[in-house]
Amino acid sequence: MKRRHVWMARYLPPGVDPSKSEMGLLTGLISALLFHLQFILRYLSARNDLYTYYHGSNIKQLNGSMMPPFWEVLGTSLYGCFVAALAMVVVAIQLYSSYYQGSKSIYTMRRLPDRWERWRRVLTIPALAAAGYLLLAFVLRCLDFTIYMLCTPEPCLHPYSWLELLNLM
Amino acid sequence: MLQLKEVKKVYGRSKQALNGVDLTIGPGEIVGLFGENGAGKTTLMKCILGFLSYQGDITLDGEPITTRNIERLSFATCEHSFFPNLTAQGHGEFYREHFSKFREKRFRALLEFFELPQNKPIRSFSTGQKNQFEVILALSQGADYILMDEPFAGNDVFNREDFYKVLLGILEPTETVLLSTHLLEEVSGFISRAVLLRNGSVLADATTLELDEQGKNVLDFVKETYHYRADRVSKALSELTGEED
Repeated sequence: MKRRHVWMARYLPPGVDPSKSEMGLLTGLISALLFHLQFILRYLSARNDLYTYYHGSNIKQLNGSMMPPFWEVLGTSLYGCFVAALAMVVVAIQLYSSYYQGSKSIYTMRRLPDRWERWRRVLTIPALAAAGYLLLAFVLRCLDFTIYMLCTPEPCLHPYSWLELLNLM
Repeated sequence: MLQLKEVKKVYGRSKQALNGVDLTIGPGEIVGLFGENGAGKTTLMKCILGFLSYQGDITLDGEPITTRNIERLSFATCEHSFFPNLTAQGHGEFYREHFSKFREKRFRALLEFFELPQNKPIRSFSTGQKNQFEVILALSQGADYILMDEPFAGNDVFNREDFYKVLLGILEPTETVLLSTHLLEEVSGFISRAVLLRNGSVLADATTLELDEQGKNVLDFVKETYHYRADRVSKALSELTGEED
């Protein structure tokens, strides 16, 4: 067993396979990242709308329109992270229900001198994963904002666009 | 000493499962807990272990049972309380980590005696092996009071015989067993005291020594206390078949 799996096993109900749990968390992460790709598509589309393209040539010129506000471009692209974080509630319930599957190991967990052990083994990994997904949402939002501010032609940005940075906090 | 005073348990609004049970179990006793289905045997054990809320007092050497002294109690149940996806070895590690008096040597010896595989998940065991493992865990936890609720349901008779012998051989004088079972005849030579429950109350309580003095065995004692009517079956059959006696 790999070292990180040994660590994970200490925070999962006894007998729950850490590698399977890890795979589930990775699936959530990849899904959230894939879902976030829609920001790039939305941003490129909005940026494209700033230009007029001359037919039959590669020449493009700003057409005087303004870039939509950041939050509008951002849209629902971070929802993947939020859904993954919320899914951790379901994971915690599933982990707790494992104490009732195939036996009533809950009887052993309830007899432990450390009364928090059974909760620790159910809540730690989902809570850490949920925090991780929310942190990822924050980092992606900052990254998206940086792209929005740096890659958009300055005349097309609203004068106080940077104030939207405050909304990130 | 495990002491129960006026322990009452009601399920829902009206189902009285325990009706003021008074019971004292001292160190070293092997107590058989008998009663028909629904008499309250399992409920009584679950109240002792704190799995169910109840009215009354349950104390262990004068102290209420909390996380401070819960490891002095172990539990083997026909519902099974092991972790099905964990190996026997994994259970050993878990118990060693969480129960300060875990009896490693006894655990290994019993696994070996019953020839249980160490590195296979318990879910792959046969029903008999699962029961054996359940009891092995209860005996190895290092508890002073070992509660067993129908632990041998599904085991064959040879298997059970082996277990009684092993139990008698390994128990230390201070280890106490509270055993709930329907297998009266089998455990009669093994227990030192019989407690009979009926409708959530203690109907009778006698040591095997007292029964010996009265020239009775546990089976007679139970039948007598329950007013067992031996002619009940023949009468019912006669009525059903329309035959005269």
